[in-house]
This record gives sequence, C-alpha cells and structure tokens, in this order.
Amino acid sequence: MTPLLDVTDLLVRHGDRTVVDRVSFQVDEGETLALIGESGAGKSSTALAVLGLVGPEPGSSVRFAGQELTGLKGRRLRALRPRFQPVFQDPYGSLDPRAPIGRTITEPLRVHGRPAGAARAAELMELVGLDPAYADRLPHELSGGQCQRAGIARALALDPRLLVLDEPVSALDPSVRSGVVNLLTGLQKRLGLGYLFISHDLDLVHHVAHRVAVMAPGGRLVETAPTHELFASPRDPYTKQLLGWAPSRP
Amino acid sequence: MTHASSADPLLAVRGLRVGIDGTEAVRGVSFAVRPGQATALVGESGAGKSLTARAILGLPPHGARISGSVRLDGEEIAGAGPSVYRRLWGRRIAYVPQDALAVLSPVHTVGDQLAAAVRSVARVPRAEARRRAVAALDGVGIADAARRARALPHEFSGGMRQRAVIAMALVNGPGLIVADEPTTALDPRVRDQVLDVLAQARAASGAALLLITHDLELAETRADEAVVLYAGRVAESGPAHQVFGDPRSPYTAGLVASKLPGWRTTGTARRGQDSLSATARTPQAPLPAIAGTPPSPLDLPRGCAFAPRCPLAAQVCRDEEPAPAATDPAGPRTVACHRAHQLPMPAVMLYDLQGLQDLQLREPTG
Repeated sequence: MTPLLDVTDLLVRHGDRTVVDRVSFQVDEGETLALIGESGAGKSSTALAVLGLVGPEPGSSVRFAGQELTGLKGRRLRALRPRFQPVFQDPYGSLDPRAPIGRTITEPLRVHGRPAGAARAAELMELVGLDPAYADRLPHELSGGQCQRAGIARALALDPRLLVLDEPVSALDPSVRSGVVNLLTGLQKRLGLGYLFISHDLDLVHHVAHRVAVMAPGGRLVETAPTHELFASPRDPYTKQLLGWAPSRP
Repeated sequence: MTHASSADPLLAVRGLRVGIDGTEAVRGVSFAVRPGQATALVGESGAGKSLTARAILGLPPHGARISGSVRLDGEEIAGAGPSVYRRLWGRRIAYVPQDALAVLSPVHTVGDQLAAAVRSVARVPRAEARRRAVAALDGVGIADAARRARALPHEFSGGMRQRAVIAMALVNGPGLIVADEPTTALDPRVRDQVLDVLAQARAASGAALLLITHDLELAETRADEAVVLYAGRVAESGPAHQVFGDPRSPYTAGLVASKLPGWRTTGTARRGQDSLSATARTPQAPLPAIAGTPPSPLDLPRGCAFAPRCPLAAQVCRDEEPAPAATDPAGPRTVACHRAHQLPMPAVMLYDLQGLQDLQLREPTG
C-alpha cells in the first residue's frame, strides 16, 4: 500500500547550517506518527518542509499519496494543497484577529474557489464541537480552546487526508486540553486522517501516537518505532537519554 | 531573620481583590505562605494568579485597584507604593519571572548585574559585591562561576539564564521568592534541573517560595501547599499532595481527572484489571474532560463561576457564589463548593462517564 505521506532523505538547510538531516519516515491513513525531540532539534522545520513552506535541498523527496511534492509549483502544488493541512501551536496567533471565525474557518474554501457558505461553516464548527452561533465572533472573544477548535475546523475545511499538527495543545489551558485531544483522536477515527504530530510532551505522544520518530539535535532521526515499543525498550542512546533512562549531560 | 515565630505565616493574604478597568479579576483571595515552605498558586489563564503575584510584589499593572490585606512578616503592604516596596524588593521579597531576558539587561555581563543587585541593597565595596555575585552563581550550579560571570546573558543557554535569575533573586537573602511560571519556556529536562537548583538554593538560604503555575504536576511535586484559583477565587487549598491526590472541589477533580496518563506509570499498569477507571486507559481512548471553557472576567456567571461546567451543579450553585470553608474543622484544607460533601470518592469519578451517569440519577438536596 502506498503510504499517505512518504518522506525520503529530507534535507533542510538554513544558510550553511543543516537543520533537518536526511530524514525518512512514512505516515499511513488513520495513523499518527509523532515526531519528538528537544527544542531546536528540527521538528518544526520538518513540518514546514512537509507543508511545502520551506524548500528542501535537492535529493529530498516528499510524496503525498505517491505524488512527488518537491519541485512542484503554482497550480500543480495548489491542486494538492487541500489534501494536507496544518494546525499550529498558537491558537490566537494563527487566526486573523479582525475576521469573524466563521469566515476564517471557510477561508480555505474561498482560496480554492469552492462553495463557502454559512451552512458549510456551521457544519465544520459542529464537527469540532464549536457552537455555530459563535460564527460571528472575533478570536479575542473566544477562549484559547475555542480558538484552537476553530483552527482545526479551518484545517478540515478542504477535506484533507493529512494534518500536520505542531504542538497543537501545548498552549491550551489544562481544563480544555483533554477536550481538544479527544477531538483530534475522535476526528482521526471518524475521518481516517493521517497525523504528523509534533510535540515534546512525552505523555501526550504516548497517548495519541501509533508510532514515534525521535529527532536528535542536528535534525537526525535516531529511532522510529511503534509507541509502546519505543517507550518500553528504546534502543538509541539519545532516545534513552530523552526518556530519562540514561543520565543526561547538564 | 524573620520577626515572627516559625508557626506564623511569612506571607498572609486575606481577601485580596485586584480590579483593572472596572473589572475585578482577583475577587477575594486568601492564603498563607509559611517560612521556608513552597506554596503553589495554580490556575489557568485568566484565573488571576499572575495578578495576585504582581499585587503581592508591588508590581501591579497601571491603574489597578488593590484592596484586602497582604502581610509580609506582619507588615501590611497591600497596595503600598514603590517607596515602601523599595525597602522590601531583593531583601525580603524577590521575583523570578518566566522570561529571564525580561529582567536581564542584554548589554551588561551577568556578574555585573548580580553585583549591582547586591550594591542596590547593601553598602559593600565593589570587590565584595563581585564576590557575592560569583558565589550566588556558584550556588545555582553554574560551573566555573568566576569566568561565566563575565559573560553576557545571550551567551548563556535558556536554562543557565534562568539559573542566573534565580541567583539574582537569592543574592540578598530574601525570605520570600515569588516565581511566575519560572520554567514554562524550558525543555522538560532543563526544567527539572532548574527546579532542583531552585529547591537546593532555597534549602540553603531558608527562603520560602510562592510558585505561580498552570502545571499541576509542578505544583504537586514541587510545593508543600497548593492554592487552586478559578475565575479569581480560591476553589480549593491545602497540602499539595492532598489537594491533587484527593481533590475536594469539582474543578480540581476535573483537572486531575483530565490529566494525561503519564507514560511512565501507564506502560504496564494500564492493563491491570483492578486499577481505577481513571488510570485504566488505553492509548487514544477518550480522556475524561471538563466541558466548556473558563469564563471571561468580563462575563462571569451568577453564582459559582464553575457551575456552567460542573457535572454536579445544582440550583444553589447557579444562585450563590460559595465561600471557602474548611473541609473539616481542625484540618488544613479549604474548599469553596456548595456540594463538596456530595462529591463521590474519589472525586475524579465525577468525570468518569459511568460515574457521572450514576450521580445524575440522584437529585441534589442542596
């Protein structure tokens, strides 16, 4: 079976610094692959490269459902974009502060020339557990949890197959965090979405991920394994250190 | 060092209220910090924890109205101005912020800034100030402190900067440190190191700690006492391990119930037959969750602020705001809840779907 997302030898450089170092991984339909590692390891750069928001170096390959994305431009990239969508960490910063959230949620539909009426906004809001009556509210009138639900609704507007989630709940208050986690796991089951899930929260990753890839500083993937296996018997010395199995350097 | 005996609180906050722009964001908060002890002030964004801290520190936002009582070593300082606080800052009460760069000047070396902090409160020669500065850096585990003192803040890692700020807070031997989310910006591993350093440095100096945090785990593992705030009021307070181990307010119970199962503890125990339902989760199974979202201070519900989200709310909860009351007359715990005596045991069962269905069959008697 062709994986939903197939990343091979992804190399990302900022100037002469390598931030993602020949990384390979796959995400299947209905599967969550978590990418873990310390800040600065290159997790978010990997996400941006998968989304086509930073250009990888020649030799890198990012395939979506068998189709090569690297090197694609303009209309041909735009035709594929609806299939993979991002959810960002900052629930407020990722929404237009001056636009009612109903409008923000359906914005991707307008960009891609699809029908974007109030009915579709209400449908999307219900899908993520937001009261459609909030469609006219501005982001600052909503809580962090509600804003993040709006961000997820926007990501779902184009019926994507893959979500790239970069620390999607780390900025949320504890009393709303588990509700958003439940929303994400429930949506995956219902819609068969693939998730590339970036987080440094090991408890969260343990709960949501089917498989885990460990990124060490310098942007190298040192280990990829099914979640229970990785947490029960990590093989790589860096993973052991990250999980607190081995003493770390101060 | 302190004027009072060790049984008396070092910091006693009574009925503290803080209003900004006609909105009351802290609405009658009371708690105490005993000498040498760590008290965690726990709450979500908008709960009023940072405003409470800033009112205690004498650093309220411009235009804030402060009422109630704040006693430091018996001295009333609620709403006092800089002329009073200038005598207290550094010597008796010190501040560790979330962002070290917010208090460190980028253009002076770390050692110069610490030495300046020493000389701001004590008339000592420069060399002596320098010696104390280096000793303080050494005391927070910065290796080769004499050399590192000559570095600029940006030459330090995030963890080292936070250590330097802790050193600066402790350098003049204050009785109380107020730390506002001191490790939120750090990686988990560095966070633990910084918290260990803070605990060791406090143990050496005898300083008490008021720890402002949204992180339950931090409050439970790093504090003696916990004060849980919701919508500007104390929902529950008491010894930290009791508050989070056996919560007696529906809000705290919800926070504890909806905590992610730790990967360390659930690896094998998860499939145990006899474990509590709250811990017997499989991966990706729905987590217990509190419905709804915290209220805005601009739009507080009538009655108990948690009632719209509370699985146990009755009419009395929607009509009257409950006052904090001792859970048992002699005990150290308080809870502000009309229905605290009707909570299931353990209270986290309130958020277990089956437990909730059983409970709703019983009509409230309150």
